[in-house]
Amino acid sequence: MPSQPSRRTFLRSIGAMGLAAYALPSGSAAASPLPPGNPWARAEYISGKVRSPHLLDRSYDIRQLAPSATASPTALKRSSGPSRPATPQAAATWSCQPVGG
Amino acid sequence: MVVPAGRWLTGPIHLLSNVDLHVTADAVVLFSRRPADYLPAVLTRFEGVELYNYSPLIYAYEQENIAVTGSGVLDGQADMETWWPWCGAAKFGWKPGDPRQTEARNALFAQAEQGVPVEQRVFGDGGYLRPSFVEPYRCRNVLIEGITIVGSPMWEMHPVLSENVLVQGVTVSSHGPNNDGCNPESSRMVVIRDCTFDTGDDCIAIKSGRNADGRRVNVPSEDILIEGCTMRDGHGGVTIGSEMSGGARNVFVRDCEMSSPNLNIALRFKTNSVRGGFIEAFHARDLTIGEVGGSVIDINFFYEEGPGHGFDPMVGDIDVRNVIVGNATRALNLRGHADDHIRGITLTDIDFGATSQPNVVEYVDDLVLKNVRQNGVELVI
Repeated sequence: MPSQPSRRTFLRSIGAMGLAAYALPSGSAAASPLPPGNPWARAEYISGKVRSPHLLDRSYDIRQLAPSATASPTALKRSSGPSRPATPQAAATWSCQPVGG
Repeated sequence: MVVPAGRWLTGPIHLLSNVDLHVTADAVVLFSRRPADYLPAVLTRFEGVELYNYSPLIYAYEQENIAVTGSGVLDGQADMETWWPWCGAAKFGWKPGDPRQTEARNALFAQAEQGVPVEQRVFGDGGYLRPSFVEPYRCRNVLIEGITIVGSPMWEMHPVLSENVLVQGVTVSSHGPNNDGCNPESSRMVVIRDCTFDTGDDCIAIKSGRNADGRRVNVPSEDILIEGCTMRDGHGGVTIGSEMSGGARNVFVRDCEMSSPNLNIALRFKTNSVRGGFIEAFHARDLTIGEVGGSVIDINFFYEEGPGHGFDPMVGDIDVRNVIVGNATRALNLRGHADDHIRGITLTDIDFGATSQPNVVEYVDDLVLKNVRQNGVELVI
């Protein structure tokens, strides 16, 4: 049998939407900073919460990945699975020199 | 990690936490056209179903504080010779006898229905299932900003099971098969802002898994804000579905401009009774829609498999207001089913402009129209 909320549950949730659902800042039962009855308050909440990640103020030129200043090849070691994402390494797979065109 | 001006060839790029791949102006990152370069396979999704497949071109798994920024170009180099023909359509370069995705796609979907563990759904070489372009998977605090994406094999920006995702100022121009611009899937707290989409499929399509696999994972997409975007060519401007088995709620769209003779539908909800799931609390306002080739608002329970398969979708609590349309074939195409009605559509202060075909409204309960005009007269249904 399909394991979904029943239509009764769904309609009840819609009916309650204007009163309560927007009161939750997330799917959790956390306390609400949002006023009830104004769904767009939730949009403002999302806009305020989703920000650029904090990234360190350091930069590396991709050419620094090359094993030496004169060596052209560098590599992105490819992962063997999702738990081992790729890491830059000095091995010859991908050119770090500009390509033509 | 800074990519300076120039043209640079690479294979798949996997981001680790606290890394910003910054593509400077006048830099073009070209991705290999050899599918084998995208192996070994990684955990990903294909059309809403989990599997191990070719790595997305830019991929991150369980990372946080990651970014792809800059004003340069990411070129997947997909075209009528590479990646696209695998869809199996002649218009994308496929010819009889060429490899195509059909068999693997069917096998994957069958495995998902049978509950085959994801670890055993290993594709890659011989499967011909195209990877997404940029895919953070189970990531937090993601920024994609400023870049231009062209030549995508499949979906373009595809955050999966991710949270706090900001997509800002991105230009997508890729007209291949299944070239959706941005697909938040089973993700929450997503903002898509000030982007331009000119795509071969939906400009933005919100997903949450497909059929049995979507119900197994059972994570909705929620708390998504789309604002200040421009949509040109595409199947839908803002779409939910069809892979929505985990549900979608709290989606907000505002201050967007959509117009193209090749934009089929402005607001599109596509589903059926195999997908199941729900769409609730969808709100759109302040939209300027110039030209739409098909319907302005389309809710279709007959997409692909249609009704009668046991998992009726539940769609309701949709509110659209303050919309101006230039011209479209049809204002409304709302097709529920006798056993599964669309419930709760409120349209307020909308001028649908000039339309050439009558509206289709079937099995819709609680359709409320307030100051809605079409062809210069008040719309009454």
